[in-house]
This record gives sequence, C-alpha cells and structure tokens, in this order.
Amino acid sequence: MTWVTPSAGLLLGAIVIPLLLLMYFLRLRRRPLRISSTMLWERAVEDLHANTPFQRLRPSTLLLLQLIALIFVVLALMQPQIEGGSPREGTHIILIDRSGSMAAVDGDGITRLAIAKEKASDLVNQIYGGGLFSSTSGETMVIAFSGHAEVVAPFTDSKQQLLHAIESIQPTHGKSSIGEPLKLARAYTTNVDPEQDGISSSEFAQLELFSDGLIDDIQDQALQGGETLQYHMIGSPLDKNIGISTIDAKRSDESSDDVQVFLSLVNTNSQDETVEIELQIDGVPVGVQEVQIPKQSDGLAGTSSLVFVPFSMPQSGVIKARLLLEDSLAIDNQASLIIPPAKELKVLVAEEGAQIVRTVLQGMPLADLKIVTSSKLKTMIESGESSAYDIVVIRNIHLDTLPRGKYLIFGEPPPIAPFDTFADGEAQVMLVADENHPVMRFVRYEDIVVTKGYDVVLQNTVETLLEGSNWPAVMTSRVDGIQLVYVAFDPINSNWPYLRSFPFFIFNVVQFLGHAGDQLTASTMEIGQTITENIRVDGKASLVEPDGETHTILVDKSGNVSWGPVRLSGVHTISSDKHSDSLFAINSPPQESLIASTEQISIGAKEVVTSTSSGLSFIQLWPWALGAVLVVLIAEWWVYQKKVSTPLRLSWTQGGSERKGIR
Amino acid sequence: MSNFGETIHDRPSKVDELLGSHLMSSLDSLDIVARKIFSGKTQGERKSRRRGSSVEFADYRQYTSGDDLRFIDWNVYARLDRLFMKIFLEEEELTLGIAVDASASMEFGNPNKFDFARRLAMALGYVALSSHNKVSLFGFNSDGVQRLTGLRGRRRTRDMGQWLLDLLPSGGTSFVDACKVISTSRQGRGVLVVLSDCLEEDGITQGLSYLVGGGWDVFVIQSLAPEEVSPLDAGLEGDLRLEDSESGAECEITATAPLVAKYKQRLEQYCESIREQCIRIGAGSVRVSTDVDMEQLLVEYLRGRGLLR
Repeated sequence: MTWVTPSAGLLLGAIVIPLLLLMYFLRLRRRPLRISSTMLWERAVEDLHANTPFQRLRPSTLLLLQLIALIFVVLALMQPQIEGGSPREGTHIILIDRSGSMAAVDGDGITRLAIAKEKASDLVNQIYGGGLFSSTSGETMVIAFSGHAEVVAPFTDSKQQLLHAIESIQPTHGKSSIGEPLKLARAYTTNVDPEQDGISSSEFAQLELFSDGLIDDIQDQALQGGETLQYHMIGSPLDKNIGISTIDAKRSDESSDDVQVFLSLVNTNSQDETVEIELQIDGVPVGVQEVQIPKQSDGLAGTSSLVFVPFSMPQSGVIKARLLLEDSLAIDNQASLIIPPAKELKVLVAEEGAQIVRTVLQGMPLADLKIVTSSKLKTMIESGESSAYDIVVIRNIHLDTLPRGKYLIFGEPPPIAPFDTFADGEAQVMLVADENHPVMRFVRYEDIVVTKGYDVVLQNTVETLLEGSNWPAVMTSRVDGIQLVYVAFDPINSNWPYLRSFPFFIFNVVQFLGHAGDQLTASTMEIGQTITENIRVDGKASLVEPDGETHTILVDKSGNVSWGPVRLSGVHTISSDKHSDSLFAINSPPQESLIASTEQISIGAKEVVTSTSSGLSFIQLWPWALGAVLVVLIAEWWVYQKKVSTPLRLSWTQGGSERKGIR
Repeated sequence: MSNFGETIHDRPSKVDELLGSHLMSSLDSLDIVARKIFSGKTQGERKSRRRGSSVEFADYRQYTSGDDLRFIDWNVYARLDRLFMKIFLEEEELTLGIAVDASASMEFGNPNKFDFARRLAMALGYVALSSHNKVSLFGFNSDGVQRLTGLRGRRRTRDMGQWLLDLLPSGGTSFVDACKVISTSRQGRGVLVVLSDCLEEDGITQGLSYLVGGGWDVFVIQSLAPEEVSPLDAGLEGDLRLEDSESGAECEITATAPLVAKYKQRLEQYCESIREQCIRIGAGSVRVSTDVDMEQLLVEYLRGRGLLR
C-alpha cells in the first residue's frame, strides 16, 4: 500500500487528534449556579471529580468513536492506494488496437479489446490517479485503430473524458495498421510556428500501444526522434485459432444454374484439426463437409482448401460457410458471399438470309446485341473484337477459324475438330432430347421437322442434346477454350422458327453459354471501406450491420447511398421501402485469423518488448476510508442519543395515598 | 449566576405576613399533641407524671401527717375507718420547642425554604401559645443556636413573630452541635419540632439522638423547595457548575434527563434514610415541599400525623 499525500494526512492528524483529546481533557465551560446543597448532585454526577484544568481521561465510548472517525479522516486525506507504480508525467497517446484479432476471447470469455480497454483505463487512472493533492500530469489522447484510425479523445487532462472515450471504443473486424494512427498522433503533437517560417516543433509524446502485436505495417513504420513506445501486449502468444481465410464461388461450367463454393481454411494449432463446415444459402443449410487442416509448422499456419459439390442456385442469394466449432476467434469461423443475379449479356449475331435468330434475340433482355454481316463477323473474328462479346451467334456462315469464346452456331458446321467430319443430312423428325440439360429445358422438340441438314460424325468431345431420326440435330462441345452449341441445320429448312420451342431454345442457349463458369467472387470491399449503392429511389434507407445494429442513411438526388466505414464482417443489408434489399458480404481479413500475440514488435529498426508494468494500476482506498467515517459517525450519534436522551422522569408525587408535596 | 432557585416572591417583613388572620382563625381550634406525658413546673393543661392536684384520679395512698386534708377520701374513711389520700394526675403546661434551621441552604427556592420554615414555626408557635403552652424557639446554624424561650400566652405571639423575622439564614448547618446545645438547654421538656431541609453530609441521626435523649418528643419536618424536588420542571438546563451555598463546594453537571433521574433517585434514597432514622429513634417525621398549602399542612396533615389535634 502506498500513500499519495501522507504529509497532508499526518499534518491534519497532528493538529486535529491532539485538539480532540484536549477537548476531552479540558473542562467544559459551565454556567455557575448556586444551590442549597451539592451533596446529592455529587453523588449523581459522573464527571465531578476533577479540580484541575485537566481532568483524568476516563474510558469513553464517544471519545473512542470520535478518535476512530478522525483516524479514518486522516487516512482518507493521506489517500492510500494499493498496487501501483510511480505516477507518469508528460504527454501520452494511447493507441488501442481494435482489429479483428482483438475480438479473440481468453479463457474467461473476455475479448482482447475489452482487456485492452480495461488496461488502458488502468493506465489513465495511473496517470491521473494521483488524487487531489498530486501534481498535474500532462495531457493524453486516445486513438482507436484497425485498418483506419479514429481519434476517440483529443488531448485532454480530463480523466473522466478519457475513460469514457476508451469505454466507447467499438470493435471492428478489420486488419490492423499502425501507420495511420501514428500519422494522426504526430499531427496532433506537431505545432507549426508561422513566425518562424513554418518551422514545426513536435512535442514528444509517450505512445502507449495496447495491441496483440499483429499489425500489418508495423515494420514499415519508425519512431521519430523523441517518441517512445510502450507496448502493452494483449492476449497470449500461445493462443490458437481455426478459421476461414477465403471464400470464393463460381457458376458451374456445365450448368450456369449450379454454383460451386471454394473455401480456404487456416489452422494455427499445434496439431492437425478435423473440422466440419456447414454451407448455407439464404440461411438454409444445404450441406456439411468435413475437412482436415494440417497443424502449424515452422511458424506457418496450416492451410487446407475445400470445394463444395455444386448445388443449384439459379437466382441471387447469400452463401454462408460456417465452421461448426468454437474457438478463440469467432469472426473468422464464418464467411459470406453474395451470389449476384445473372449478368446481362453482350451478344454478337451474324446470319445469312432471313432474320430468324436476331428477331428472337431482340426480344431478350441483353446488355448489347450487335448485328453484323458475315464479312464483318469474319473481320471482327480476325481482329479479336468478337471476344468482347459473351456469345457469338452465327447462322449459316462458313468460317475458317473459330477463336476462343462461346458460340451458338446454326447450319454450317463450326471449323473445329469435333465437327470436321460431316455429310448432308436427310429430312428427319426429332426423336429424343436430353431434357435435363439446361439448353433443352422447356423445349418441345416433337413437332420439329427438318428438311435437310448436316450429318456430323460424333466424337467423344461432343454431347448430343437432340437426336433426330437420322442424325444428331443439336450438340454441345467444349474444346480448346471454345464452348458452343451447334444446331446441325438451318432453321429456315425446318418448321422450328414457327414453333414456340424455338425462342425457348435460343433463350436457354444464351443463358447457358452466357453464365456458365461465371466467377461469383465476393466484392473486393474490405472492412474500413465505405459501402455505396444506387438504389434509384429518393428518401431514406437503412443499413443493418451483421450484429443487428441499424443505421438510417440518406439517399441523394441521384439515388445513391453510402455508409461507412464498415467495421464488422458479415452481411450488410441496405433496405428501403421502395427498393429491394441490397446485400454486401464482407469478410474478415485472412491475416486476422493468426491470433498468437507477439511479445516483441519491431517498429522500424527498434524492437519493443511488451511492458511488464502494463497490468499495474492504483486502487484508491480513500473512498472506503470516508465511508468508514460515515459509519463511525452514525455509531457515535447512536451512542450519544442513547446516552443523553433516555426519557426518564421521576415524579415527586408518588403513590395515590400521599398528598401533593408531603410525605 | 443563574436565577434557578433564586427566590423571586416577596419576603415577609411583618409579623402579619408570617401568619395571616385567616390562617390564625383556622389554628385557634388546634392544640399541640405530645405523644409522651411530661412534667411541667407550672400547672397547665397537660397530664404530668407527677401526681398532684388535678381533676383526673390516679391512685390512693396512706395518709401521713402533713398531707393536705383536702385530698382525704372521706368515703373510704367511712367504709374502712382508715385515712387514705386521693392522688390525682397533676396537669402541667407543655413546652413546644421549635428549632428552625437558619443555615444558608434554607435560603433557596420558590417558595423560599427559610420563609416556609418561619411561617410554619409561627403557626405552630401560635397554636401552642393559644393553648396556654410554653413556646421556645431555636434558630441554629454553624454560628450557634439563637433562642427565644419562655413564651407564654397568646400575647407573646408578636414577640415570637418578630424574633423569627429577625432570624437570618447564614453559614453552615452544624446540626449535631445545635441539637447538643438544644438538648442540654433544659428549657422545659415537651415537643420539639425541627424545621430543616436536613441536607446534612453526615446525616441527622446523631443530632436527633441528642434531642430524644434530652427528653424531647421530636418531630422533624423536612422542607424541600420544588427546585430540589423536580429540577428539570423548575428550569434546570445546560452545562452548569453548581455551588454549594453552605460549603462553597462546586459540582459540574450537564443537566440531562438521565442525570436528573439519578439525582432524584439519590434524593429519594436520602429522604427515605432520614425517615428510617427518625423511626429508629422514636421521632416523627414528615417531608414537605415548600409550595404546599400551609393551612392544609397544619389542619389536615400534621393533625393526621398526631402533632396537632
């Protein structure tokens, strides 16, 4: 136990306690009164035996209680405190890491950020805990940082403001970067003197870093002259974690309705781990897979990849992968991905003769429909311009080469290997189709009659989608980066253009070729960035964070909304009354999954070891002493009341048989 | 100096103020009662142990020469032919002694204790003089015993009153010394009424023993002021340094209910001890407050206690 102001307490005690005792020694100044005889009073009164200016000090409960109360007052004035170091002086900048790794919990279920805030508060108490009579410490600033820095308390010497600011720091799931907070701190500590030609002067500050040491850019930084860094390590170097580091998805090459999800997992434990991963679509579990992740070795975390079996997801939605386990860091145990709706396609079409195909394509929602002649098509193919289009539709045009791309070809066989052997085909009707294939979905082929076509000799790389009575009518193939659907007859030589199944077929092919193999990678948005979206309506919208917190956001005249910086990983939803919800999936940075704290950090060339005094703080005991004073005073009052206020009155006239005043 | 206990009423300066005419008329029918039978030097209205001429027959004895022939019972001579003398209880006068405590402690209270004692002495003396008894007055304090003896007849009432008016309280009590003097003065045996507050450090037993041994039929009237009986009701309050009016001794108190309760307890114990002492030595006693009505005290209470009839 230490005493902040022992001299003040001792001085008070030296003055007041002797005064109290003197008051008990001294006789009370009394009013003289002459009475007939003091004989009976002398026998009744307790405090009558002193004839000197000082009476003998007799045991007195009141005196004892008053002495105790006075001693407690003296103790309170001496401001006792336990567990503390010497008061710190000077300017302080408290840097609190609130990155994703600081969301890791220790054995008691307390997050590292909470521990960091508690220790930072202790430091503030230590700096400004000197009590009423201590010397004033310098000012302190509080900066919270993850990917970005925020000044939560500018320089102040208000202990309450600092404590409140520290308490208000919210966690983020972003990465940790110390460059920006250092810039902020220096900006606040640098004064430019315009009278000296703009020469700046810096006030040296003590940087107090509360972090687990997992800071991306710390080695790129350096302390400037006069700056000192005190590193308070939060967490343990032995902390382990398993998490999802990346998530990706794409539409299946075989079927644009099918989506494949790819996961990358990380393990920092010292042994191999087998974990189960659940996959959800729009909150509904669609599958669970087990994967073994190798242990950490040579300081490198073990990693493992996982590919989920493709599942049907023709529309947009939210995919969420979730590790079915509980470990220190929860934020990387799940990852989300927004599957966007199929993109609008750009189609290049060239046909000879009647405008059969282009008429159908003009009725479809396409981003671009380019209609060219056969010569133009050949020119575009040669120049490579055709690759700018998602699909190239060719009808009855002979080509010499076919570059990589996606094609729907009618009539003339494509100039690639699987189709280089063919003969003229006779008239025929359609017999059988692969109705499970997306291209043939809802296509009624029974009524189609073809007068002539191309009888292609099938090879292994060709899949027949519609078989005629004499030769295959519709085929698909993927070779050498070319994906195509080939219709082995010109529709003008059939009744198909007059059937309802024809536009269905064109639509299916465009969708199939257009979206097959689409990369459904999550947006590249990171924590700390701003979400922007055009919702095309006026008024207000709201944004719901993954933890359920809702923010109202304004929509500008153009219908744009923005909100940021994003602080949590997970699905963010922007919704308004007039617009369907817009979803944004943001995942925690993969480096935040590595949660083993570092005892030593290197900032520039300087190595800083975690402070051993980081846990020290003062516990002030003077409030307890004052409380004890109150208790003792209450007891003293009670004793006094009991002593002087006994309502006892004896009547001179007692007994009914006796007359008043006569015995 | 506080005015607690200080006498604020008018002090008697005339004999008439000691004994008013109304009280006087009430006392005319009263007489002093002696619980013992005494012998007096002059024939009075009391029976005496000495047989003599009286109306109340006591005994017979044989005639011897020189006896008064008037007291020969001739009827007996007629029957027995022998001379017998009739012996009668001789009626002697009664001496009422009134000893008034004239110490400084009596100069206290409302009503004043000394004034109360003087008025009571005056009343008792008047009763005695009216009944053809002899009255002796004693005033005692540490300076000695003042006396006025041999008062006979109602006409001496004024002398008695003036003597009482001239008596001034001062000094200590010296009760034992005073009793010793009174008991040896032999001013005539009879009833001795002691009027005092009896606040004696050493008690009054020894002094009363002297008086009883001297032949007095002692009756102690202890008078206390209301301030002494109920200090809080009389206005005692605050932190006080009490000064004894006789010894000058000081006593520091804080007038609180518990302290006053303890004082009352002590007073009760002391007064009870005085009563027990009186009973032990055959003396009568009564304790009165000075605010008691004088007529009621005399006519009702002292008559009931057998001092008056």
